[in-house]
Amino acid sequence: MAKTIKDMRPVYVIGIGLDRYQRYSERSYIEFGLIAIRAALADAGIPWPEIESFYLGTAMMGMGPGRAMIKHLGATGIPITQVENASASGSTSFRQACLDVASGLTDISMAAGVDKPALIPRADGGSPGDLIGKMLAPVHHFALLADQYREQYGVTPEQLAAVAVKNHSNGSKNPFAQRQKIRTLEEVMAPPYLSGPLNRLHCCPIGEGAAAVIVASEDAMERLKLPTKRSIRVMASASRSERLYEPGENWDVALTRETTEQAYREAGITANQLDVVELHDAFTIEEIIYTEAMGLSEEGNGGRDIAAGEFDIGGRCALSPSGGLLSMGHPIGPTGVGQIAEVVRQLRGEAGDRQQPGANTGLTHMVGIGAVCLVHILQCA
Amino acid sequence: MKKPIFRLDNGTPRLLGTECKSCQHRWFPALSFGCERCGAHGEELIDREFNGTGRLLSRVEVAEETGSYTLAMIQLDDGPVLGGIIEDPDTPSAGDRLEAFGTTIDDKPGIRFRRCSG
Repeated sequence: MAKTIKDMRPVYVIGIGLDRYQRYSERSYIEFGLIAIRAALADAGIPWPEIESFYLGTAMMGMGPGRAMIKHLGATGIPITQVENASASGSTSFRQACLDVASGLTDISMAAGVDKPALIPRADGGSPGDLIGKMLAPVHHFALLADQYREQYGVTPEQLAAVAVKNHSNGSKNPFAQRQKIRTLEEVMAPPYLSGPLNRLHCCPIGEGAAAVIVASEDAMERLKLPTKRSIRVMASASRSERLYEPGENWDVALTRETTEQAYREAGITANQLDVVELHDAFTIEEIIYTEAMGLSEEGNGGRDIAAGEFDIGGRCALSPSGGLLSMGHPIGPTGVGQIAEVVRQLRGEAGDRQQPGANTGLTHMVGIGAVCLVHILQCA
Repeated sequence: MKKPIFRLDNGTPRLLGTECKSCQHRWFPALSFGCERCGAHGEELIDREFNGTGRLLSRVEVAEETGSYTLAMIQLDDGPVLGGIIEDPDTPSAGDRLEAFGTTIDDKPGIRFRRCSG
């Protein structure tokens, strides 16, 4: 019978590091990638030669950027693997590092993410006539989804905008966030609109950045005398791809629901045990539909619950306390790794102004172009 | 050379797609690599023309430098769901019946949708 990560030996996150997400710059990815990696090593209190395998989530930088970066830490000859899985590249690199440790292949592994935006033409740059039968640009896809959701459940423009208001407020307290400015409901609802009711504050910024986390076995933690108090257990790692869903079924929701349910089973928890969730809020409507798909809100109530403050920091579960993709940013490769870093920070009680009180269990969630979904559940050791 | 995605039959658009003989799954535009539902391929996949009639699922107004338009997701009566542009003086609502009509876009034949006339 197939095993889950919880059936293998325990895996703990022992170090996290980030470089602030930001707009495209002339900086080399090596420069800011190393900042995140060295921060994670310092956080764990271990030197680079302890790392036995290295996974790098990156989606926009071409072939083999890993060694060119980590050689500057001292070339130890460890296995390096670049992981491309669209927006879920970082989450997938984290999963691979966890599997190395869980299986016993390594005692300590690192997952990092680094990216710079590709300067590509807009996906919808041609005549509108080209749209028929083709993949829609994400902003249009999610604007249409928001319209469909409005028809079904009556979500108001104010409730949709409340997602962006909350996440920008959280991001204003995060020194690693690309957008650190508080936004009002009026700003989030103001023109110009990119598609339907969505202005740019309903959409995540895609910039550059880096994140790194270190995972270890109990053997390694004992050998290196690492403090268990700051170590966070990886309880579940679920990874799925899109099936063929029935006509009319919302496949964004269905894929997230299936993957999250798998993760809950692996971890042996239910949605109401979650204290912190970092989810794929690339567009405001996504936070609403995924909140429902994860069982945090009843179907049709996600927008109302978010607007009512139930998922603010200090509410029943803090949603996107980092600011999420909407405010912290979505540099693609690092995003999923950065989510792990945020949840670990929250579960350690080290999140400062944006700390969710009493946080014990957290979840991270990323989708990759709607086709793949990764969910991890972490818990205080 | 891109394959055409529709043809006009006496002015009435026919959308060119694919049907799987094994499981009757249909998709648009035509692709002959294999069936997403059952994996059948080769001769199991046949060309299929779909009527341009269906039901509006959702719509949004999009304003671009070149002009604004109404973008829609449409559930065809023949099965597939697709994105298209609505051109209708009275903007339809979700659930309304739509039909494709032939028009000229950038000096080339193209398709738009409008409320069903019948």
